[in-house]
Amino acid sequence: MRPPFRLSIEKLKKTYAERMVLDIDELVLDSGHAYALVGPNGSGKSTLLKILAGAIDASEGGVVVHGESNPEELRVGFMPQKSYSFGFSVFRNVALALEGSGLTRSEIGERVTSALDIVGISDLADARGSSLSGGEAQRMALARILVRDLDVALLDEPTASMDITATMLVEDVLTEYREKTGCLLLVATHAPSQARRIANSIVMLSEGKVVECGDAQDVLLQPTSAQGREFLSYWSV
Amino acid sequence: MNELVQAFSLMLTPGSELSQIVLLTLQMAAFSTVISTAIGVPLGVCVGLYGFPGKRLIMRLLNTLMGLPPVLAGLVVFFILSRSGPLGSLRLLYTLPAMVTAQVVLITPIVCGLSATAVSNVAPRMHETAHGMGLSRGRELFMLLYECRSQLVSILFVAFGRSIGEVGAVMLVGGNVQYKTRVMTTAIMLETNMGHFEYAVALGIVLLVISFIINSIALSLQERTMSPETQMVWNHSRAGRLGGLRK
Repeated sequence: MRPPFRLSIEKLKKTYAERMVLDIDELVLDSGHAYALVGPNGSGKSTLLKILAGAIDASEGGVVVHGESNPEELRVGFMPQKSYSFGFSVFRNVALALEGSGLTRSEIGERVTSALDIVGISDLADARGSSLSGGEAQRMALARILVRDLDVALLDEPTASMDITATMLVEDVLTEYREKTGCLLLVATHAPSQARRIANSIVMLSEGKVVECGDAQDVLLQPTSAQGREFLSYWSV
Repeated sequence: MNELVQAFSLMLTPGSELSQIVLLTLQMAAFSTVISTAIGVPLGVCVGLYGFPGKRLIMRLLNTLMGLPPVLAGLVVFFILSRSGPLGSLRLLYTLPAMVTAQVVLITPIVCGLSATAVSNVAPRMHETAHGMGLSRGRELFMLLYECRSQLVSILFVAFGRSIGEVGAVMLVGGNVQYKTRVMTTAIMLETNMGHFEYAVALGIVLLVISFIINSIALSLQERTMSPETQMVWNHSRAGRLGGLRK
């Protein structure tokens, strides 16, 4: 397990065609914690995750890593909202995430088999990745996260296409994974109830700005901002 | 019917003019396809994959050049290779290399545009996943080409089909010289002009049979490698492109 580190997001801005989609002055995320990123559609949740994953660049500002001498060595994993399924088997789709990890073939095989078993799709190991349903594809994408020993795990609405049983399973799996690896877990979700189940802390975005940040219970029960109160008023938490 | 049998038997007779024409046609189409693919696919992948200033202009130019009239392509190459042209000293006019050059000018934009479309359909969806899985940029590019393999095979055969059926540019820079630059399409034109309609039709059928065999190989390769989802996206985008060409 890696020594504790802290991600400090400073003066982060992202614009698309002159439209500001993200404008965060300061946000601190600690390793070993689970954060839920909540907010309405278009609030900037996915954009923040993509920037943290390095999939897109910020227009201004950036992320500083404290407590880690070589930030490049941080293992960051990202599960996009619509994960791409390669045209080969589910097993190979997951094993691809371990390429270059230095593990032997049998170790990779063991890890992939175990991850597929955990997410409940071991019977689909030989099925073509591109033939999976939305929910199955999300489980496969989650298995790609689970096979790796990550320092930062970023998940964008990982249960969006899943039924309630699968959703509960994934929430338990994510909690166990964080406890086992000590990673920083950041999960974007629309549902405050899910945020409460999987996260210690909640970061709420509205129109690209952080409007709430703190302990999950505090944010959900006593939001301090008007946007936070409005967003949570539609939900029974 | 007799002409058709005669045409096929002549084609299969070694040393006959028709067998020589078929061989030259295949040579020209193969060289043109290989060269235009070698140039067009990497260019298309770059255009489809990367965002850069002027990309929209390049895409518009490519789309325009995809509908380039063959006679115009032939004319440009003719001027370049003619005795007073910049490459006149090479004395390539009315030779196979001149015909291949004209074909490359004609086909490369098609290969480039179709490659760009194929890649740009898959790349954005794949990039976030590949990056999230920790794949290197080189590995991501390799996976992208792997995922587009059936489209790329299909593009190769589109190029070949375009090349083997081309007449205007080939006639201009090749000159339809007997035993030297006469190919199937120019031979058909010649026979038609001479009033040998049955023989011209027979040659056309031979050309169609060759195209049919090549396309059958392409389709079976495509069906083996393409997932239903990719096939749907690809067919949709290709239909749009070819529709644009017909205008």
